[in-house]
Amino acid sequence: MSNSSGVPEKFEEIRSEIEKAVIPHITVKIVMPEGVNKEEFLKLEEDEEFLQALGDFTKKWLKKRQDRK
Amino acid sequence: MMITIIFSIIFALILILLVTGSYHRSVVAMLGALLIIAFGLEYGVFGTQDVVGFVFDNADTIALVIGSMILCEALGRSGLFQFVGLSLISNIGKSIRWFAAIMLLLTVFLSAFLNNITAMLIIGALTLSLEKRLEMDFSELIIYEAIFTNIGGLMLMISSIPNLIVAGEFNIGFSRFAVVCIPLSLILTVVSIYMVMRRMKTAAPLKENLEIDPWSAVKDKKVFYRASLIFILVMIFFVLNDILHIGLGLIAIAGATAMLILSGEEPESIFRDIDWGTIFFLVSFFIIVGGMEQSGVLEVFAQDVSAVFLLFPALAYLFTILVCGAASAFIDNIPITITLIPIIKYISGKVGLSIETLAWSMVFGANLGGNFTPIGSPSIIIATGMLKRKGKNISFYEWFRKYAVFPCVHLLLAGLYTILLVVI
Repeated sequence: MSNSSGVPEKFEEIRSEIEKAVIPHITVKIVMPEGVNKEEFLKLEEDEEFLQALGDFTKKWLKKRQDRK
Repeated sequence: MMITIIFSIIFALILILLVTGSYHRSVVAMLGALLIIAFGLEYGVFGTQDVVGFVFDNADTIALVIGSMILCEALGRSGLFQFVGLSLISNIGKSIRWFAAIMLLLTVFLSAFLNNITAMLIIGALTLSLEKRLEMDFSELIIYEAIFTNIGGLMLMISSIPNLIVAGEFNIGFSRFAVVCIPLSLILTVVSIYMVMRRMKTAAPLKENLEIDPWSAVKDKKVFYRASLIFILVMIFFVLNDILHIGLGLIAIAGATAMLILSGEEPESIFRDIDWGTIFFLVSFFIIVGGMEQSGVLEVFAQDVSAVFLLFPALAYLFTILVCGAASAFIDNIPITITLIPIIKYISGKVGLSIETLAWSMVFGANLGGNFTPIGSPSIIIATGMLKRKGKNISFYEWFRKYAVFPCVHLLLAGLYTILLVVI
């Protein structure tokens, strides 16, 4: 048997690096716009429909940029 | 006589505290070392110079452990091992059994060059990331990977700390270690992969053929090439040490220094991530066992064991594997190895057995025994921790029922291999 203390932080570090290679992704910060409900806004982080819409928007955005070039 | 009883009580207390895990293992070992020093000096068993000697006699092993830790930490950050992993699993098709076999081979490869904790962290992170991408459940595979880290752990001299200690104590060179241990490690790998593949007969195939760019795991190609070059050079010097006799500790420290200068990483952050607890644990145990050896406690024990082995000499090798294996299932394999070394030396001299074969028995038992229980090795503790986060608990009963067959087969094959070593 052996000790494995201090491991969780290191694991998260290694995992986030590998995950970026296996599932390429970016992390962006969206500041809460004025006039929206805070609770509803915070729930968007887990909202599959919203994330899908963001993915579609990213595709369109990149295509538009490519076309411009 | 009095000191023999006192030292035996201290040692028993240390073992109890290590098994129960009530305190950090390094703190337990440091407390034990302090008690041994205090009583040893008080009863005139040894002087302060002798205490320094207990540590400095093992300076090369300690340097090798520290150097290897720095090397591995910097190598892990360079992305070399992640690159190898992603290269191996890219475009392998959709067969789950083929995928599992490659992941397990990769585990053995990683743990041959890294300590088991780092190897498990890398392979576990890779498996969980693939699980997320493929939307499949790889819980079972994570457990197998943990078991396989202990197979890779006996492959090379640098694969685990017990290997380094045994090699240092018995003057076994890097090449000699590889020549004896790689074949057994490969046999165990092939047999175990076969066992896993049989269990995965009905598993669903992968949902897609993985296409991953391995370079995406590398942050800086320059650092990657530099780190890989230093690593290869260190390996070459380890092999050449049998001719050059530079000292493995010195080679490891030189490699670590080169890595600190050229890796591009902040040395302070590398030093921060080194497992200093293990170093303190190791040094403290050298003092504990050095003191016990000087007091004659270990000799008393060795005399009793020798009496049995004089009747059945051939059993000594198998007995050593079993004792090391069984003890490693519950206690850290580092103190087991350090404690058994003087006993093994005594028995070898008294009964006339091959000291090197007894050393191999220790290496096999200490590395493979950790797979007997879910607390037997750090990689298994990490793997079960990963599953716990996914809401899956593995009890002792479940472990024995599903996974204990692996160490049983491993120790049986290691026993047969040891007999083969004696015969040839």
